[in-house]
Amino acid sequence: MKKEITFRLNRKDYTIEVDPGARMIDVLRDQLNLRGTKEGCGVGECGACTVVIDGKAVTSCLVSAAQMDGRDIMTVEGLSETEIGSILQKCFIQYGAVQCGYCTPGMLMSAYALLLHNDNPTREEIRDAIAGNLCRCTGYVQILDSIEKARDEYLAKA
Amino acid sequence: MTTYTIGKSTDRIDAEAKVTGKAVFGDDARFPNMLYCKGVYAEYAHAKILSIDTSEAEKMPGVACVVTAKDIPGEKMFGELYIDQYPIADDMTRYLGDVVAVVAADTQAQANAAAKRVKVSYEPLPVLTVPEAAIGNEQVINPDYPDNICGGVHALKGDIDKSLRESDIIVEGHFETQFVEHAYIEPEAVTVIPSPMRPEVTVLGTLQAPYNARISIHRCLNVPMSQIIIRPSAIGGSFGGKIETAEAMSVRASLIALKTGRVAHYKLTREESIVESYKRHPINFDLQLGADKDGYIKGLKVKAIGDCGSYINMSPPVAYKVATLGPGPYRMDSLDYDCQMVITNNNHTGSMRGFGTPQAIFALENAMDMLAEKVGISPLEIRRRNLLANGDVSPCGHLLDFHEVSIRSCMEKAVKELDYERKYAEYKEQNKDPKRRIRRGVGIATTMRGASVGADGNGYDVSRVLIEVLPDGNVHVNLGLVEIGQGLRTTQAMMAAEGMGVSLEHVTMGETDTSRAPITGACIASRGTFVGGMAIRDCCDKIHKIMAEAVAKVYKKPVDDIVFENDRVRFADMDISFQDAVNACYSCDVNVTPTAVGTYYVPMLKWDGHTGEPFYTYTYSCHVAEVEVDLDCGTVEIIKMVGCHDMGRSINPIMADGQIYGGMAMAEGMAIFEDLGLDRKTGRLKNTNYENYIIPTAMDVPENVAIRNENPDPRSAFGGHSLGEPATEPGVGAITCAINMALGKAGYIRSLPADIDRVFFAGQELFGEKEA
Amino acid sequence: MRYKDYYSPNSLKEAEQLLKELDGPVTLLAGGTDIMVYAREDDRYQDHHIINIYGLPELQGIELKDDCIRIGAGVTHSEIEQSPIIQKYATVLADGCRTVGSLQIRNHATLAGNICNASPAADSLAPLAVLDAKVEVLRDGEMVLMPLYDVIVKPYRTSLSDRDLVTAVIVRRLPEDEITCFYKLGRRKALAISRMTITYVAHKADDGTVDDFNITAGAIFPRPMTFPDINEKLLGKKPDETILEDVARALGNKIPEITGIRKSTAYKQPVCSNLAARILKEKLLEV
Repeated sequence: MKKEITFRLNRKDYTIEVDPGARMIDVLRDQLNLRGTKEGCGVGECGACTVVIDGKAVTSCLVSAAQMDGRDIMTVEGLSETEIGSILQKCFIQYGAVQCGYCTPGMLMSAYALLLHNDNPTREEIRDAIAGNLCRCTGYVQILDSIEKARDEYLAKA
Repeated sequence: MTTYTIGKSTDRIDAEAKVTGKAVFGDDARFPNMLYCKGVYAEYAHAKILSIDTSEAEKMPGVACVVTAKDIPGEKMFGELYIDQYPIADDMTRYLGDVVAVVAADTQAQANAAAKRVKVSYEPLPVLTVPEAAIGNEQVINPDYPDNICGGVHALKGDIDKSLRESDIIVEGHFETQFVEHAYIEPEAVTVIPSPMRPEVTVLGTLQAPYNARISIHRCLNVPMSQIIIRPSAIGGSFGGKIETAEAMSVRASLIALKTGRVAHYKLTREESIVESYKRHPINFDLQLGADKDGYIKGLKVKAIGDCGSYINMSPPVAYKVATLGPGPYRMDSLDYDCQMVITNNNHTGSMRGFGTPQAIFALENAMDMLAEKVGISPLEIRRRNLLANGDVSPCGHLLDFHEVSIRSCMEKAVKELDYERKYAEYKEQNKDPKRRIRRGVGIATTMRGASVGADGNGYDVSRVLIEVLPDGNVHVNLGLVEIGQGLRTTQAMMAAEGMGVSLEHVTMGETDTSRAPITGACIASRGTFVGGMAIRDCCDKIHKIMAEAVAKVYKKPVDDIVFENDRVRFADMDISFQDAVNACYSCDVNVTPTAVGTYYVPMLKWDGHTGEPFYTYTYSCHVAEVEVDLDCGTVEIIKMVGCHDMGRSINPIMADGQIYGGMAMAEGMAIFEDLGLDRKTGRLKNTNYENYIIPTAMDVPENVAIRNENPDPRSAFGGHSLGEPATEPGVGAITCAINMALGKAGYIRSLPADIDRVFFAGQELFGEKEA
Repeated sequence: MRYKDYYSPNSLKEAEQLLKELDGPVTLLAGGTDIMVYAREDDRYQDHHIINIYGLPELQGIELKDDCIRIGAGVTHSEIEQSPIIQKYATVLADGCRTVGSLQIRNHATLAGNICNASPAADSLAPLAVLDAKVEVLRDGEMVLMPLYDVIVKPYRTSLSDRDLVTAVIVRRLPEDEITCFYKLGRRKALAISRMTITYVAHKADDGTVDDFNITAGAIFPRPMTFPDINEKLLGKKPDETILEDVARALGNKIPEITGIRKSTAYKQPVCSNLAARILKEKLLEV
């Protein structure tokens, strides 16, 4: 069955037909061809599929397509267009947050959601915000460093 | 050595694509009219396959085909070193990760639904899941190995019986380690594109060892090697794990692509990945360490039995590293280290970061602490007394006179950073109180890591690279060593820039492609920087010769003293740009081609099967860990780890640090959390996704510290040797030594993981149950 | 997921209407974080009508009443955790919700969904138990109020029918000087499935005697329960080490008493007592 839904995605408006019971991650990846959002576990444990819905980080593998209706969604593909996102991306590159890069989109989205609501998080708050994003490569230290650098840079600009 | 590019932190060349979501990973490939595949897994870990009925599945909507082993036109088995693995199980199942049939359909949902309709009838056989019980068992799993032992290595030096006889102190212990999952965040995925023109497949996906995959597809599907084009995607972590499993998938998907003429896309769910993929070897160690009354080691005797699971995979070479590197960086008169690998019906076990040594070092370093306790000195002091120094002979008999044996400075820098000595004294005093429930401990572990594969791969340890200098002055590198997240492509580019004498912006890296880059040994064994760098150096030297010839002709000057450096080329009294020199090559009156293939092979090493020079060179490493143990519930908190490594030279320091941080976190998981929950009755794994296969989160990993202790290695082209595996190997030893110190008894916990149950019961045994 | 059909009503009325009219099994989808996981395992919903009630306006909001707090069924764990009302008058629930899954799941999963899934490992359930939670259910057009204990009957099983729609959860409003504690023991520090949680609320009168006390453990018992016999040990008394250790031991002893002796009891019983003693002393002993 198909159902029409309307939502905002990466600052653009969409109206599309979806299987309402499909997973949001599949709608993003296969219907909208936005494959920056990754699947690592399918059960909301690894955080690789994290997107931001109405300003909040959510694992898109556990969201039903119908629940995208009326929402304002941001994925990694839209990040460069945002001030916070582009600073985060730059700092991730510069301070060693990226290794294999598979957790990176989800990690960026969690960091983005954090800085949206808290422009001056402590290192512990950053840890807490990315605790739902597993990374097997980096040991997290340089990811935390990068988000701190991004915070400082964003604060300095603001 | 003055360097212009290497040794400076540089942005990764793939980072931009990875932070924008543009990087194409294994599951990201999409093509029109693409088929989706789904494997049907074995129902029994060990069984005869009596029949497979695919007829109902074939009639399901959208199904294009269902393949079984009978459809494989070539050999039924593949393998990197030992040809014994079935990409599709033929007559038997040997573990629960065996695939008996693969369904391909227009959508993933259709493939999944049809896969459930494949009917297989089995005759179950006894399931062997305990290596000790499998040895000599009448139930044989692989008839080529009638005792179920698939191989092993026995490292020997000196007279071990004499050394132990003459020892004042002998420490003995039995240590056990668990299966460990690589836990790359990206599950395996491949996409195979068939050529409409000829029997040819292009395989995209998560392939850590593309040239091996090419051999496997060639072997099983009878396609000429030249018509198997492997182009690894961006790989979302591997750690040694995306070799055989991904190859088996490539064979299956290629079979489907060739059969149907359609693109075949094949990805695993996390559960499938954990059920099917190979693991880190569980190894049991029986260890005897003899020393004089002051703790100076006389001899080490170890009998190690590893679980190789259903297929041999990398087990014999893992045994080699266990036996040759398991003795650590210590002086000893004699060594008797026997490691054997046993076939069972568990998941097969293979390459995983460390390749057997994190297990062996865990056993050894806890024994070292037991020795220190008996001597009455600190763990630091026992190591100070025994660590190797320049000119010493390694445990396996290798005279270390060719580079800086830096293990002592690695340890001293690490303990200083942790403030080990003060903490050791303080916690030791505190822990004397038997009523103390929250206890701290510190632990040290040291290792020497052989770079690359070692003498058991004598003659096969080869690396090749093709570099083309194009008319625009661009140095284009085609190297088949794969980026698996470690940053190898960036270090390769940096080494090529340095070697060619140009700045980094003039270097481009070709996408890894077996049809473009010459055959090379795989990106395994922490060899990428070392042997890849050597091949790049060789290639740059060859191109420099070609360019010198051209320059001599054009400028009519002697070029005996020609230097390529920092985008300039200097010879005689000339100082021209690199571009000018390139122009000389392509000028119509010269026309030489500044292109070459560089080759490097590790020199043949002296090794008689038991003793000698097991590796060409070594990386020295020390991890120290501080932990807090709560006896009331058994939790272990890692307070801090310090990793100090001599990687020779760090090509890109920020990435080197990233390896160290990541290696320590991986060790933490293995030490205190990770457990696949093997059911020994059925061979089934209980923990097949991340809700119960527990790896460290950002909350679990503390503010660790990475220290680079660089001593450029004269045996390496750019001074750098290995880091990827060294970054993990001492960590488990350091953490468990710290836990055991917190428990007040060296070597008390001898089985991994030291999780909350194990630590709680250890506390109960040692200190009694607290009266609540 | 495979399902029979899928509805996204715009109001509670519409949802109610659907429940009345539809034939065959119905699954109500709130955040859906459990259902989406189950749907991945098999096709158990293929004959179900899915009614997506996520975001229904009538199910939102946290309201402070005289002696209780009403939490709309659509309220997420994050909203509870961040709610000033909960933080002030039911702190223990905020603390419990804070440790559920990952932030990404807390941002989407609802408290009511957690109750309907009835996982014994749900971290919110023990806090709800000590807060004497009641579940407000729309049943056959009427609102009924059921104690949490009567809703969750055993692991993953509730007494609700598929036509029952949970509209709110009602918990005790605690005095501002109530002492509360939520302790979670997991295998790791984040994303952990609880091995055990221990929760209590306590209040001391001016003379230092305890005039309100309720303690329980989570992830241990088949359904959320509290123990008047244990609470009695402390009520009306001034807490001292002996009493608190007695309370802690009694809580641990409930494990074999209720679940029988299992392999895990050797760990759970002493650890429950150890940790209960520790957290009781931390907050209840006079300094």
